Amino acid sequence: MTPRVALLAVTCTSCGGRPEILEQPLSVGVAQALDRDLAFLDQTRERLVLVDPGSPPRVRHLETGHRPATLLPTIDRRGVIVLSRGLESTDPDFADQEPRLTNFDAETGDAAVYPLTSPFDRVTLSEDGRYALAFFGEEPAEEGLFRNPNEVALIDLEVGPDDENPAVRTIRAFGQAPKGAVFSPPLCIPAKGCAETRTLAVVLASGSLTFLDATHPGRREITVQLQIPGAQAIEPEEVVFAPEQGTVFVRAADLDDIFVIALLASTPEGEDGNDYHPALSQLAAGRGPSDIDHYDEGGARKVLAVNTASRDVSIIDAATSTFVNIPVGDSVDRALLFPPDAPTAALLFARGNAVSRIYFLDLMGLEDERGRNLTHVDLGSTAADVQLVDGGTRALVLHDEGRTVVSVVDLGARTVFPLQGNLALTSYDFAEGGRYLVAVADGLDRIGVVDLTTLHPSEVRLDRVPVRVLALPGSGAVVVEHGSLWGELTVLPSPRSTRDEAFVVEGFLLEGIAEGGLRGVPVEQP
Amino acid sequence: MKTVTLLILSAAVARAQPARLGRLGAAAGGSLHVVSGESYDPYDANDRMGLGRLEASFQVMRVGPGEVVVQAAYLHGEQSDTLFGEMETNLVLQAANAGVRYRWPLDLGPVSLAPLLRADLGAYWASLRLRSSGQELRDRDAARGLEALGGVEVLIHPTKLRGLTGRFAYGGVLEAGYAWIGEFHHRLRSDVPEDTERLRRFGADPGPLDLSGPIVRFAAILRY
Repeated sequence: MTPRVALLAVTCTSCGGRPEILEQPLSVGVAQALDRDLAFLDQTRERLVLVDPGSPPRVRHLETGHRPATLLPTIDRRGVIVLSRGLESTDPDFADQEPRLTNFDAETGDAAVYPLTSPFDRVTLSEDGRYALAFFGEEPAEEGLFRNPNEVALIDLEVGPDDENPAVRTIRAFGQAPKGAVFSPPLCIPAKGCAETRTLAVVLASGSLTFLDATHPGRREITVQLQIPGAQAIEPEEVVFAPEQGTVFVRAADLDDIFVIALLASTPEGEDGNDYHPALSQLAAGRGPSDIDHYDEGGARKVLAVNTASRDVSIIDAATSTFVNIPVGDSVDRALLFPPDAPTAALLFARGNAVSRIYFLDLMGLEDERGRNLTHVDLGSTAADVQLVDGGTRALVLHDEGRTVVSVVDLGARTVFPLQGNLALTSYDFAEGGRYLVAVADGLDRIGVVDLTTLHPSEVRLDRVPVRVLALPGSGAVVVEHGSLWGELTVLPSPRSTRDEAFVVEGFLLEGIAEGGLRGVPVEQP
Repeated sequence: MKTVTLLILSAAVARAQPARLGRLGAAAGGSLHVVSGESYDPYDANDRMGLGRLEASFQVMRVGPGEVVVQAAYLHGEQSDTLFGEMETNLVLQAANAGVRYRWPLDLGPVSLAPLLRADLGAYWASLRLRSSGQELRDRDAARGLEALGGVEVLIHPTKLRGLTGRFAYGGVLEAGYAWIGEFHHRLRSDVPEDTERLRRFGADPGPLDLSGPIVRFAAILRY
């Protein structure tokens, strides 16, 4: 051995370099606000990062499955769902891992893992949070020889994984991959009464809807083909349920008609047969519907359709399919019904076009009063978006032009209070149950807070320009994200906090980086 | 190569030569630390850290065929790298240590060869800095450490080359051993100037940094 070789042997003792994962760009998704934590998906290190922005803050890094793709807060925001695509390892140090859905409890850090048969990249949850449906998005496959874009997995999150949970199905599609999926609220099948309700998963695809009975996952799926003679492929966009009537209303892109699907009782055929069947009909009430919603009047279910092309609103009786049209005069494209739990009126507006008015439509007695139930208020500038706040007693109008950045609408008195500013808002949220509007603007190192009960605005100066603002309902904290590569947040313990009470949490994505255990295997992509 | 072989063979048969006490020494050189722990991975892709070293020494006593030398040294090293493709990392390690070595000089005429064993105790300071998009996180922490090395020292006595006697000698030393360095615990925060009003900040704990590992050291020596 020459001295040079001996020296190299000594100096290279254990010099194995570092994990390749440290050379790859850090890919972390945008923050999701949970009840008390912020959740980040670190796709590079295959971790869920939970930050409880208390004083002192608590940072936890929880391992996800290999190649996490999607993060979705649970309905109660006390946890998150993570879809991971799994791994076919080329590294002998890492075992293969199947795709999986992991249900994390943010409070305890516990995780329930549901193995999946395919690397799904989309997931939707039922409104009670019990069921999840994993499916493929419309994007083409990035890997593998075959992919069945119409395969879906239905998961009961209240039950552990077993042979029947997840329930895997291939929906009968007549086109491409699903465009989306929604869950119904617990529905009645009218002829069977509402003693036993069921939750349906509805998969939207080009030219069809597929119903899966989440309450009875062993039953066959039912596909309803959406067709109109002479029409192009029908692209369903919005689904509204009338749960007590067992009726589903479907709005499609560039289509005047609204589909009505009545769920009728039937005798199951075989063990996996369904006890209902859909009956499809169409309503042609206006031109170019862009939004639909529903409400009850005197025990009758009514469907409201906002017809942008014909500049009117249709009110359809769900039981008889009769309708009345109320001319609006402007091309409104959206309706917000209020109060949310038992709507008696609708706020009509247009998003982003040249309409600077909002309309109020009283829904009760519309068949008789018709246009007399419609009033309007001038905003002075166009609206980018409108949201109900403060329990549905007020609406917040976000403008995208002029000096008026926000208008607060008192839905009882039907009056508008403008709030001026210099910059358009880039991010906003509502704190303390909607009492406070918190917002940030691009390039301005401040967070604005508006008490929506008094409309008093205040500001807190930040050390750095913000990117997003999020409110945490559980702790009441308001958190500003600064978009730093290593993670940086400014925390206001409450929307009433002053700068003296605010603090910064920085570098949390680097927490524990020297402790090893780094995940992430370089995978040879085809 | 022939020269080295000759020196080693000569040393094996040479008589140990007790040296005079009270000689002063100075050394300047470098050392290469091999840090194989994964806690070092985020800051260096190559598991090696070079340090410069300045040392002063003093012969205090003779024990058996050799002599005991005490020494004090200052070490400084810096390692920069890139983390996650776009985050610059910079680790500066400084140390002040003092220790003792036992050397056994073998007189080969104008050249002396001295196998040696040494141990140094010291204080280490590790400054960690991360930069991205004009922002910087940094912190500094201290730890204790112990180094144990063995090696060989070669000294040339220029006066002996002229047939005279004298104290002055120069040469070099090559040593190898191990450094046990306590863990550094950093809390990475933005560097806020004192005259700037800033919000209270909670930094990140990247985890304990362990820089222990094998060492190879070389230095040029002056002795009087």
